[in-house]
Amino acid sequence: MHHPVYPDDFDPQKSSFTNEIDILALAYEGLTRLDENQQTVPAAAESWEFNEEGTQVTFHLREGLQYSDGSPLTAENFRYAVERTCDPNTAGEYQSILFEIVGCAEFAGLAGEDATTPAAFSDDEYEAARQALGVRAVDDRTLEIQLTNPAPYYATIAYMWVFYPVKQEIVEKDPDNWWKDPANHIGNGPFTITGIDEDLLITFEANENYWGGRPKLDGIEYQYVDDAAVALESYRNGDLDIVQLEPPQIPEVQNDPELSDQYLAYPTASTYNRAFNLTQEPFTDKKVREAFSYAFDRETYCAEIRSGDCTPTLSWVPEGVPGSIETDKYGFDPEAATQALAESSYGGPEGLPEIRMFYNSDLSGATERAEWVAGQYRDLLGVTITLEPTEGTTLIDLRKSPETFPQMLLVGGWIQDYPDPQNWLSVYWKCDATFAQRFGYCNEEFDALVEQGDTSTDPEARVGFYEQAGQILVDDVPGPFLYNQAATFVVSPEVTGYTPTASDVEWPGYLGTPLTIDVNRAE
Amino acid sequence: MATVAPTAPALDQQAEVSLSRVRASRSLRSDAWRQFRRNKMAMVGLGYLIFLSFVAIFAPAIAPNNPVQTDVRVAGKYRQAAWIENPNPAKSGTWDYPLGTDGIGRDVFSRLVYGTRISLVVGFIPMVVILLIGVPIGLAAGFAGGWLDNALMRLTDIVYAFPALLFFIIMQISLGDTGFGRLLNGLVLLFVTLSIVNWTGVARLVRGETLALKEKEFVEAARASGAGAGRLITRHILPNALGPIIVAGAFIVPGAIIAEAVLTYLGIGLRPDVNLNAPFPTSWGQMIQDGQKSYRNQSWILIAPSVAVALITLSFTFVGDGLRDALDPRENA
Amino acid sequence: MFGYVLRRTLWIVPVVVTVAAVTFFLMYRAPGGPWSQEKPLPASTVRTLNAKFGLDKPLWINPEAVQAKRDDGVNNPLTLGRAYLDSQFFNYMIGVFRFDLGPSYASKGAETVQSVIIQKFPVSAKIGLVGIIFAIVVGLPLGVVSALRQNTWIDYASLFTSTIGVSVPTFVSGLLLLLFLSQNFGVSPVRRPEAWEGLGRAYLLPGIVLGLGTMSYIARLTRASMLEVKRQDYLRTARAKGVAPQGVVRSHMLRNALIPIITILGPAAADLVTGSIIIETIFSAPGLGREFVDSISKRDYSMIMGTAIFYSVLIAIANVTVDLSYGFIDPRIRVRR
Repeated sequence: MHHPVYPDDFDPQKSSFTNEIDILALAYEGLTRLDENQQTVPAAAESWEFNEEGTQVTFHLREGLQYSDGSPLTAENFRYAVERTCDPNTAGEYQSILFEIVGCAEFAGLAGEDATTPAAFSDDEYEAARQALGVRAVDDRTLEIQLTNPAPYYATIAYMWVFYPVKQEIVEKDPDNWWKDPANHIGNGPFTITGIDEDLLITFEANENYWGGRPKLDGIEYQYVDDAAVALESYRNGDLDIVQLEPPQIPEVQNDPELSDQYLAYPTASTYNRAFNLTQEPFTDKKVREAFSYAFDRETYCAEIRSGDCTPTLSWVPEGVPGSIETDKYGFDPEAATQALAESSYGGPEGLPEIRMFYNSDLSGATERAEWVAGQYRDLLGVTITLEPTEGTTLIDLRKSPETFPQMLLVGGWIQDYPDPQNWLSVYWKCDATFAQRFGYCNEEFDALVEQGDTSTDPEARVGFYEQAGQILVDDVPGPFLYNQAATFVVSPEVTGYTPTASDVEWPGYLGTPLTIDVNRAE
Repeated sequence: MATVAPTAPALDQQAEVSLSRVRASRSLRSDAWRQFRRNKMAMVGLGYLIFLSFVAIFAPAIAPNNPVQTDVRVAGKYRQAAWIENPNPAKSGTWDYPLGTDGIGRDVFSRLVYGTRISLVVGFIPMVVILLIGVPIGLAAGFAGGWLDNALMRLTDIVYAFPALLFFIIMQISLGDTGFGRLLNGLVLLFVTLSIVNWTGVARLVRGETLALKEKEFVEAARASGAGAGRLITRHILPNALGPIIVAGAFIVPGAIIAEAVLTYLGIGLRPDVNLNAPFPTSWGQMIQDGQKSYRNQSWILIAPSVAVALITLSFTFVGDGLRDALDPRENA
Repeated sequence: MFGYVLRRTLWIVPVVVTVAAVTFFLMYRAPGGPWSQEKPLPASTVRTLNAKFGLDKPLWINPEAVQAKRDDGVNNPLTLGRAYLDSQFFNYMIGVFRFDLGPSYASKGAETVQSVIIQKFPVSAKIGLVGIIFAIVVGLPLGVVSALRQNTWIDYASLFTSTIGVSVPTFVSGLLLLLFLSQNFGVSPVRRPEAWEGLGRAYLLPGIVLGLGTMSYIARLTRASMLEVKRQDYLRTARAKGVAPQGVVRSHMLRNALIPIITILGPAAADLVTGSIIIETIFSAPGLGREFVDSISKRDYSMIMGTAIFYSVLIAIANVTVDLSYGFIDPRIRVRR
C-alpha cells in the first residue's frame, strides 16, 4: 500500500493527521468504531448508555478483551487514554476534542492562557486537576464519563484515536519516544505493528487476539513514496497493490486500457469552499459573495481541472452525514453573477477594491488551479484577481485571526473528525467557534438552531435542527460551497473484500473493513 | 643597449612575451570582433540569442493564443501536439495549438513564447551581476594577497557556508510577501538571492586562477618590465583566466533557469499573474515543472521548455567559447 | 603551515556563528511557528509546549532575566551575563558548542536533531559520494579528451552531453531515468529499506543523476583550462625543449588545468552531499535533505538551525581542504601567511 507522506508521530494521544491515524487505526481500537456506512457500532465496548440529561455516558466493555500480547484490556486502560489526552504534559493536537469531559479543559489548561504569568504549575495543582477529571473506571468492564453539557454524539467521538488504549507502563517509560519502537505498540486493533523503518516502510501483522477474530490478511505494508509518478510506476511494476493518485495522473490512468479498470474514486467526508474574510471589503457585501458563487463553474472545475477527483456541492454537510441538505441555490449562472455584482454596493467590477486570492503553493498543481479560477472570475465577472501563492505554514499563520485572514482563499474547508452534524456545524460555524471567528462569521439564528441540535437527545429532532441550520449557511453565502473532495486510487484486482467509507482518506477500507480485506495473488 | 647582454637568455623570453602583449593590446577590440565573427558556432549562438530577444520582445505578436486565457471546453485539456492524432477530438492535435495544451487548456506554444521573457532575464541578469561582483573580488584577492586576500576570502567563506537551497527557501519564505519580494512577480528577489549565493563561486575560481597566473613567467616578466598592478591584471591575468570564467558564466545561465524551476518544484517560485496582458505570465522553469507531472498525458509540456533551456545553454556556451578565443591575446598575435 | 591550518580551522567558528545568526533571523521572519496547524492548539497547550522547549524566552537577549536576578540580589557578573544571554539564540548556540543541537519540535521532542542527522546523513552522504565520484571519473576524462581533440566529433559529443547534463533539472532526469529502467529492465522504482544500508546498488542511479550537473561543469571547465594552458607560452617552451607530447600533457597541462577543478571540487562536493533533496524525494531515499526541507515548512526551528550549522561546517571544511590542496597541486602557489 502506497502512502505519500511519512508521519511525524503516531502516538494516539498526540496525532491528528490522517496519515498518522491510518497506522494507529489498524493497531488500536476505540470504544466504538465506524462501520462501512459510517455508523457508530460497538467495538471494545459492546454497549453504552447516556443518563437522562445526556451528561453522563457509560460504556460496557466486552468480556475477555486482550491486547495483542495476550494481556487483559480493561476499562482502566481507556481511562488512562482519556487522562493522558487531557494531561497538559502530553499537549496533543486533539486535546480539545475532549474538552466536554468534566475537568479536561481545566487539566489541560493548567499552564493558563495569560502570557504574562509563568507557565509553570505545582505538582499539587497537577494532581488535583488530574483527580478532578470526570472519567472513572467503575470496574474492569465499565467506564463512566461525565460531560459538561448534554452531548449525544459522544459515543461517536469514542471511536476516535484519542481513545486508543495505549499501555500506561510502556508509555510512561518514555512518554515522547515510545511509539518509535514497534515492540511498544501492544494494541487492541485487528493488526499489530511489527516493523518501523522511518520514512520508508511500516509493516503490520494480523493480531491473533483481536476480539472480532483474526483478519483475513496475514499482514499489511505501508510503503512511503513521495513522488506520485514513481509510486504509480511501482504499481505498474507490481510492487504495490494500492496507490494514491494525484489529479494530473487521473487522465493518464483513465486512458490506460489496463489501469482504467483499476481506478477507484469515492467521495470523502470533506467539503471545500471559497473562503472569504467577512470583515474585509468587498466580501462584507453579500451580493459580491453571491456573484462569486454564481460565477464559479463547479462542474467543469471538478470534471476537467481536477480530473474528476471531486463532486460539486452547494451545501456544507456532505451527503451521507445526518443533517445534509440538497440545494441548487447560488449554483453556476454567469448572468446572475454579473447581475449580483451590479446590484452590489460597488455597482460592478470597476468599483471593487483589489482582490487577492491566497492559496497553498505547497500543494501539487495548486498554481494551475488558482490560475484557472482567477481566469474564470476575470472572464465572467471582469474582476482581475492578484494571486498570492503562499507557503503552507505561512498560510495557516495568516488564518489565525480576522486581522490577517486572507481576503479570499482558493479553498478553505473541513474534513470531518467524526460523522455527526455537530462536528460539521457547531465546531466550525458557531459565533464562538475558533474557525468562524477567524473569518468573522456569526449568525445568532444559526447558533440557536445548532445548540438545540447539540443538546437534544432525540436523534430525529436533532437532524431537523441541523438541516435548518445548514440552510441558513447556504442562504448567508459566507463562502461559496464548492465540492466534496474524492479519494482516488488505483487498486490491484487482486485486492478484495474492502468497502471504502467517506472517512477512508488514505486507502479504501481501513476504518470499516480491515478484517475482510484480502489479496488473492495470481500465481 | 649595453645592459641587455648580461641576462640575455631570460630577457630574450621576456622580450618576446611583452612584445606580443603590446601588440595585442593595441588592436584588441577590433581584432576581437573580427576573430569572433570567424567562429561560426559563436555566431550561430549569438544569432540565436538575438532571435530569442526578439521573441521575448514581440511575444504578443508571435504567440497565436493568449498565454493565460483559456476555455478548457474548446481548447481541451492536455491536447496533444499538432501532428499527433488522438481518437478523442478534444485531445487530437490541431495547428491552433501547435504544441498542444496544458492541464487547464492553455496553449503550450504561446506559453513557451512568453516564457522566453522570464527565462532570458533570469538567466542573463544574475550572470552579469555575479560576474561583476565575483570577478573583481577574485582578481583583487588573488593578486593583492595578504590581508586583502584574507579578508575577502574569509567573507566568501561565510557566504559559501550557507547551504544554497536553505538560503533560497528561507529567503523566499521570509521575504516573499514583503514589498521587495513582490517586485516584478518576485523576479527581483530571485535575482538577488541567486547573485548572493553564486558570486562566491566565481570569486574563488578567479582567485585560484590569479594565484596561479601571477607566478607565471610572463607575468613576472611584465612586472619586471614595469607594468603597474592595474595593467598586469587587465592585460595579463584577466585575459588568461578568461576560459574558466566564461565557462562559469555560461553555466550560471542554465543554473539560474533550473534554480527557478526547482523553486517552483518546491512550491516557492515566482508569483503567477492572470492579467490578460501580463508581461511575465510564466517561465520555462515553471513549464518544466508542470510538464514533469503530466508528461504522460502531454509530453510536449515537458519537452518544449527542456529543449529551449538546452538550446539557450548551448548558445551561451558557443558565444562564451567564441569570446574567449576572440579575447585571447595570443590568438590575435 | 601548521599555524595556517590552525587559523583556517578556527575561522570555521565565526563562520558557523554567522550562518546560525542569519538563519535564525530569517527563520523567525517566516510567519508561523512549530505549533501552527490547521486545527489550532488551545492557547494553554501552546504555552506548555513553548515552556517545555524554551520558546517562551526572548529571541536574542534577555534583559528581563538580568533584572529579575538583580531583584533577587544577585550581583555576580557571570551569573548576570548568563542571564542576559538566556535567550533562544544564545541558549541554542551554547548547546551547539556542547554538541547538542536540540530537540526536534516536529516530533514534539521525541528525537534530537543530532540523532536525526546521525541517522539520515549517511544516506545523503553516500548519494553525494557516488555523485562526486561519477562527476570526476567521467567529467575529467571527457574534458581532457575534448580539449586534446578540439573541434572533432568527440569534442561535440562531449559538449552535447554536458549541455544535457546541466540543462535538464534533476527532478526530470531522475524521474525519466527511473521510469525508463523500470519499464525496460524491470528495475523496481521503489527500494526496500534494506537497500539503503551499506553502499549497495540502490545508490548508483541517484548518485549518477545527482552528479550529472557537476560532471558537465567539470568536463567543460577541464576543457577550458586545458585549452588555456595549451596556449600558454611555457608550454610552447616545453615543447620546443623537445619534451614528448605525452609528457607535455601529463606534467604541464593536466596539473595546471586542475586548479579550477580543485577550486570548484570542494564546494561541489559539499553541494552534492547537501543538495540531494530532490533526488531523495524522487528515489524515496531516507536522507537528510528531505528532512531539511520538511523542517523548514514545519518551522522545526532547532532542526533548521541544526542542519544549517551541520551543513555549513561541512562546507567550511571542504573549503579549507581545497585551499590547502592548492599547494600540493601547484607548489608555486605557496601559502605565505
